[in-house]
Amino acid sequence: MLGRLRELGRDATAALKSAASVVELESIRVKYLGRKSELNQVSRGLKDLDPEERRSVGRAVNELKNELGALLEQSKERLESAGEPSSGLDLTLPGRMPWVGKKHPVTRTYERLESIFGGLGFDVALGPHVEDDFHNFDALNIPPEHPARDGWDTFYIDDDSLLRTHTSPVQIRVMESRTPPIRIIAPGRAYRNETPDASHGSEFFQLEGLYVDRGVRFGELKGVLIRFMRELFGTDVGLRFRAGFFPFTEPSTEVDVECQVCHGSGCSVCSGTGWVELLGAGMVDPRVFEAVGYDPEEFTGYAFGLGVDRICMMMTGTDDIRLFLENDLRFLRQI
Amino acid sequence: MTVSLNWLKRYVDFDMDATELALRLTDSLTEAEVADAPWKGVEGVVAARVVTADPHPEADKLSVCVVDWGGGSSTVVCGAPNVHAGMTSVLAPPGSVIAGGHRIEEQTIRGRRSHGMLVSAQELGLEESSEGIIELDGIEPGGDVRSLLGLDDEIIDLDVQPNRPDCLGMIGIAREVAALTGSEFRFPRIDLNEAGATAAEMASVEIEDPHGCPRYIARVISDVTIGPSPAWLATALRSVGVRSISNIVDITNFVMLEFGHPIHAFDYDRVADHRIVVRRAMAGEVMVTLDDVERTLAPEHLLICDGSNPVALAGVMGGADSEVSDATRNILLECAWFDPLVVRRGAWKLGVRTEASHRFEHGVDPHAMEMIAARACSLMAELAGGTVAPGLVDAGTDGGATPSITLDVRSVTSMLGEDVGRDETVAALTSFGFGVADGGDGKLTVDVPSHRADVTVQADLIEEVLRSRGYEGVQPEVPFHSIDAPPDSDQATRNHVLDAMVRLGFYEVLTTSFMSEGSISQIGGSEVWGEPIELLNPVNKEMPLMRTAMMPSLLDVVRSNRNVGERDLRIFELGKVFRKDGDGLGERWVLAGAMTGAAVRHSWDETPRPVDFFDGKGVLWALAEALDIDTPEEACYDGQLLDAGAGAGFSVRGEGLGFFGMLSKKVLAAWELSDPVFVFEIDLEGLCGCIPTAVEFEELPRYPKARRDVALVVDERSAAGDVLAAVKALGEPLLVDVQVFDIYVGKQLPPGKKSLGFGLTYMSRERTLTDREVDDAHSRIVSHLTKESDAALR
Ligand SMILES: [Zn+2]
Repeated sequence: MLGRLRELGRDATAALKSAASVVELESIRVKYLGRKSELNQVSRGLKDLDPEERRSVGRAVNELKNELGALLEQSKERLESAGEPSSGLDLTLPGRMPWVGKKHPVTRTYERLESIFGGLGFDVALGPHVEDDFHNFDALNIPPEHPARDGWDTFYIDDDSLLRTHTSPVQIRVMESRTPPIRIIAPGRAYRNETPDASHGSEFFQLEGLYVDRGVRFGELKGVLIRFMRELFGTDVGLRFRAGFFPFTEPSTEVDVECQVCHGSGCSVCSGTGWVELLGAGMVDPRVFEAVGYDPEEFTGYAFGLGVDRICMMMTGTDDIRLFLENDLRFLRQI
Repeated sequence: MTVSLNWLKRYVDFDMDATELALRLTDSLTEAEVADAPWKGVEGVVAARVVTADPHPEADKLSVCVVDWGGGSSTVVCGAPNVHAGMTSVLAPPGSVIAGGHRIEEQTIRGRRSHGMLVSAQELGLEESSEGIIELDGIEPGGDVRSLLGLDDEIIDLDVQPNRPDCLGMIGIAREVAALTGSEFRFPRIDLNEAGATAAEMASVEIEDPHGCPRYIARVISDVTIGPSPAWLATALRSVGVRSISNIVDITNFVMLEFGHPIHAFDYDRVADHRIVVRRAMAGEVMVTLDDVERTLAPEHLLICDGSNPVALAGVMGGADSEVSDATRNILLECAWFDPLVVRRGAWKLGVRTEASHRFEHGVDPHAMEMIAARACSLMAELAGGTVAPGLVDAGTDGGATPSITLDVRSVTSMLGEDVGRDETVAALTSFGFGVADGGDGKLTVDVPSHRADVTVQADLIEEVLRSRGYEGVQPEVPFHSIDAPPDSDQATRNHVLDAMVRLGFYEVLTTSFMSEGSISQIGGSEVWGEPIELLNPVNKEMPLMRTAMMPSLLDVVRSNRNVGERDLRIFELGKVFRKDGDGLGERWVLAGAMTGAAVRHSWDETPRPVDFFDGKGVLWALAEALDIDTPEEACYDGQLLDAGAGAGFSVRGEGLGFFGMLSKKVLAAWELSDPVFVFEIDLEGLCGCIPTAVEFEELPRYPKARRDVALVVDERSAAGDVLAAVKALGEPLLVDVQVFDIYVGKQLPPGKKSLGFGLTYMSRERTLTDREVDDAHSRIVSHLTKESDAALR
């Protein structure tokens, strides 16, 4: 008897689950749970069984009735919410799509960097693109006619005005207008008088960082940059800090990241070294603090700068920096 | 700076190959890369003596030689003009490899079998071009030429930074290598053997411009024999790409590359009165430099003159007249300190840059000059058989004592970490040649060596400690202190606009900040867009202006995409435009965009129509909605950019912020475009100013709305906007919204008329309106419209 009940349960469950309409569901209900159903007959015949058997079969009948009742409700909900099927639609035809827009890959890279540095407590500061000699050079400890200036091919507008050659003047402007502690990043365009080629643009995109406070240490600079690069490239990325020279930081360092193309084994992107130069950084030179009227005895700080278009190239495998300003839609859609 | 490892080993021993050394230098000094030496791969070449050299019977210019290569002799055919019996040269036997990876094989040349070849320096990759085979001295046939010719040398390219002019010389680099590897630095040997009349008796120096030339040392070397350099000297120079010329010239180059300090050798007998005068040039003064160029000078130029004429352009190049020649017997040697800026300006003005000017521009060490002069004299005595006149003529000053810096050890610790203490600091500084003494109170008194003029403050010393430890040796830490910063709402608002444009289906582009005169004049020029800022030195001569408008570069993007088959475009840029602003230079943020091609995306049941004015206007109004800006208004537009009938100004609350509309035919033609293009350019700062900073909650309406429609027949030229404005102006309190829902022009209307359908929505915040209340309000509006204008009910 119990075996027969299990069989009934299996059949009814399968029928309920595969029911394709409310009408079909009703006929299944009548067949398995209706007045004339086998289950009901078993239920009515219980009184003829001996007490032992009556108890066990009775429990099984009740359990099965509850189970099927619940399943019936579920199936009903399922079918009612689906509604009756329409007929004649070719569902494989494409839908009518709205236009979809996209941010420029460089903008998206900026957003990524700003969000990482934002999480590390850096606020965004901006400055003008047309700069003066003082903010772009002098205050950054790059005196006039110093050979160090050879590193910056500058667009001049007149004797004193130029297009900023880096985002570093924003450091100066922020320090002039605020008192420490200061922790900012400065994103933006910069300009160099170079004939554009695959790896250099005369307009390019930088991000500058600056932190000034009492007792800032070189280890903090390392800590923040390591955090940043691990968040950007993954926790197991190889990093290398080495000696560098920038007139506005002392000590200075250049930071290499493991080549994302060959992962360190050497390829054409990294000239076989396995490393790609990612950013320059260092402790703010005391002469820079003097230029903005901070006491170098009281404050220390660090600064860093990186090429955002280069990072975008590295992360996407783009091999020509000029593509970013060409705006070929086929490129923008892809990247 | 090209660095030869063999040359470096003259001053320091180290157990590293080029790759390891380059890494060490990269970590602690500056970027160093192993260079591919042109002689790399040369293999199996040996010294060989030419026993006989007879003319080839079949060819005029060839010789048939028997050569002794130690283990036997072979016959080779040789085409070099300088081959002769008795000379020792280099044989590349069959199976050996010369530069460029060429493997030598036996071959027959004009009927004679040649068992290998005698090679030139060029064929071994030692020189760019050579005339004839190598001639060697002091080596037996079969001897190892690898070290003699430097074929075993390795080369590193060092990216010397402007603060380290000492590393423009091998000695400076050797000092670094010694400190970084813990080895000893050895000074080159100096052996003068002075004799005869003193230098002071033989020559004199007068400095008329002590600013341009603070110090000048002259020495005299007599009875030199000009001749070829010994192999080691020629090899050393060749290893760093300098051609060997003659012993005296080679010595001046060698000492310059050794110390990073240029020196100059004059032919003593061609220096009039044996007198050196250092002065500025007179305007228009002329001299011929040793590259045989006649140069016209100006007062920027510092000159070295003899008793009557200029003999050298100080720090840049010698003069042709006093140049050392084969006939030279006596040498006047110059070792001078020229002002970096004076040399820089002088060289720049002539458009020349030499190894010498490069080094003087970066600064030389005035305290090392005596030693450098002595080193050169010593070599001239040794290699050219000269006699060094005792003493030197020394004019000017060495600039005084080198500085001492007080270094607080605690600041080293506080910047680099707890584990960097006094002992490490002292050891590091000492290894780099600094003199360190106790300064009391946890401080050190540090004497800076004269070749490290870049070190002037405490921070510079901390960097030395860091370089010694290695940058990897500092423990990273991420302390976090919260900092109050002023909110940058502008940037956030601009990002908000950027996001809204992307949601509206637009691609963001970033275009150049430069523009051409021609492109801006196509759309109205400076009259419309303001006075552009011009670059003095544009990289692209065609585009010397900073953009005053985004439109030209955006239209360039439309055109270039059209040219590659991308016709459906919706693009925008959010960036800066620049213009002269009174006496100043101004820059402003602008939002600009363009739309062309299909109005909606192509689908299987519809062929989309091209973009029109209302597609574009809808985008801008939707942008305003996305930014919670009050409904914008269209204003007058009278520029040349837009079609006169489909262009308007864009304003919010009466403030004009820009324009929008379809490009005029003229501009379409100027950019060679055929499809209609909708464009807009809006002052972003003004637009952002219209975005409410806070939105106030208003209770949601609890009572239903009721709608009534009305169709009005009006003059064909009347504007729907005027009717809407008139409705709103009535101030009906129950009216909450009014929309145009239909426009009809056709046979059912009188000519010259059109029908406008308006839907008006009524609602009260206090109660459910009765039909009668709604009807009353509606008829008040309708009767006003029909009474006050020539509108008629349809
Ligand atoms: Zn690689």
